[in-house]
Amino acid sequence: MTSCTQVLNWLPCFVGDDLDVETASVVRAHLLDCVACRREAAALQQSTKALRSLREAGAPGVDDAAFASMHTAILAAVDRAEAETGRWSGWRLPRWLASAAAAVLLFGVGWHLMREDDAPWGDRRGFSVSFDHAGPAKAVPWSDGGHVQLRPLGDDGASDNADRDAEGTVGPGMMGRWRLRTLEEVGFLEDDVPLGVDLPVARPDAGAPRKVGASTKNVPGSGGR
Amino acid sequence: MIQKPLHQKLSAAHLSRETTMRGLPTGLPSVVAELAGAAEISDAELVRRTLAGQHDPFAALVARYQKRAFWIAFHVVGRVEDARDVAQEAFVRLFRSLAKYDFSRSFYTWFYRIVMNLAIDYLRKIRSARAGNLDDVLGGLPDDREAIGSAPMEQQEQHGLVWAILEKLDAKFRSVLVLRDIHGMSCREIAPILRITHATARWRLHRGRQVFREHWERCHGRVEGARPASEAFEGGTEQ
Repeated sequence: MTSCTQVLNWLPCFVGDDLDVETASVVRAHLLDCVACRREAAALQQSTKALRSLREAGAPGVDDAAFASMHTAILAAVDRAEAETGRWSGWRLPRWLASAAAAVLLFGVGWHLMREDDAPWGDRRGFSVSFDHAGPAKAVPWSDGGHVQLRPLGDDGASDNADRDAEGTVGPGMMGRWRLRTLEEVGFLEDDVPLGVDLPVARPDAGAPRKVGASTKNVPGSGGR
Repeated sequence: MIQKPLHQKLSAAHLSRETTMRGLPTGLPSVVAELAGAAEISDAELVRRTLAGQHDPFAALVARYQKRAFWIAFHVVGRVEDARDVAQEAFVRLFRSLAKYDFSRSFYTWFYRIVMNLAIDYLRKIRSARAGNLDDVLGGLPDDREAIGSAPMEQQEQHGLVWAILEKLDAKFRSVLVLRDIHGMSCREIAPILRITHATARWRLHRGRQVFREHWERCHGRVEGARPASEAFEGGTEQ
């Protein structure tokens, strides 16, 4: 026999005729024998019936004349919306044209910024190396504690501290590396050319990868252990 | 020959049940009335003609669906003026998005979804302002919504109570109850309109009826005095 729990679970759908025929017949058979479930079904049926009574209920002031005027009002609202859309659509750029304009604008702005930054792919005429821009070394996000750890392009790490110091003065990042190469080309980085800028000395072990298994005996401060 | 789509048959079934909601509005231009009343012209065909630049087919679509749009909105939001606004806005949105209509899908599901979305949004927006204590609502019954002279006083009270309970229900339960119990749609029709699964629609219907019944017993008992619950189950199901 079907349990009351199962039947009670089916009742909300049963009273609304939302169960399949087989399940509904099972519920109906159970209700014949079970007073508690029958009381529950009667209560659910009553409330559902009350809800469904709204099907036949109207609303004050809603009649055929109201619907006729509503039809007119809806079409007028649609006409207004259409006119509004049409008015604005005259000013709307085609999507491809807007995209092309945005691309040209971005390219122009980018080109302008590149030229100002003396990019290597920019126009090199008129470029001059000036130490006016050379200030204290700036920290870059990947530098270690304010010490610029930049290398000239193509350098395998064998450059000496003088190179690093000179590199630090000309600016961080890609531009710094590129300027360093330019300075080398024009001969500014000979040993006898004073740079005139004091840079913080990089820690000897900062950023240098330690070899696996290397002894620490000779490293100052390691305690010789 | 164009086969009549399933939703057309379903819509016709709904119309035959909903005596207060059926029929075209009066006073329509003859061209519009003919288009709206022509069973052989499908909704999709009217959409096609509207997209081709004709105005009368859209007026016919409005004539076909405005009553049902209004009544659905009314049963969700609960006020005539609000329902009128929702129905009007639904048709404006429909017109604006006609070009996006997927002709392989049912028009009425698509349109009812617009109506329901607008109505539920509207309901949620105004609910906080309107939601008073249920006790306060009960004190004022019957309200002006049911002030129809032909309805007996007992029925007016019952309708007032039903409205008061509907206002207390969560929008997700209310929308399913309105579509199923008042507008007679099946759960299979309700699910795509509300963008939920069939199982979710059935669960919401199940839970919604339980919650409605709890409120109903509490409120009905207070209105009519504490009477013992009836065991007079009618034995079958009523439609």
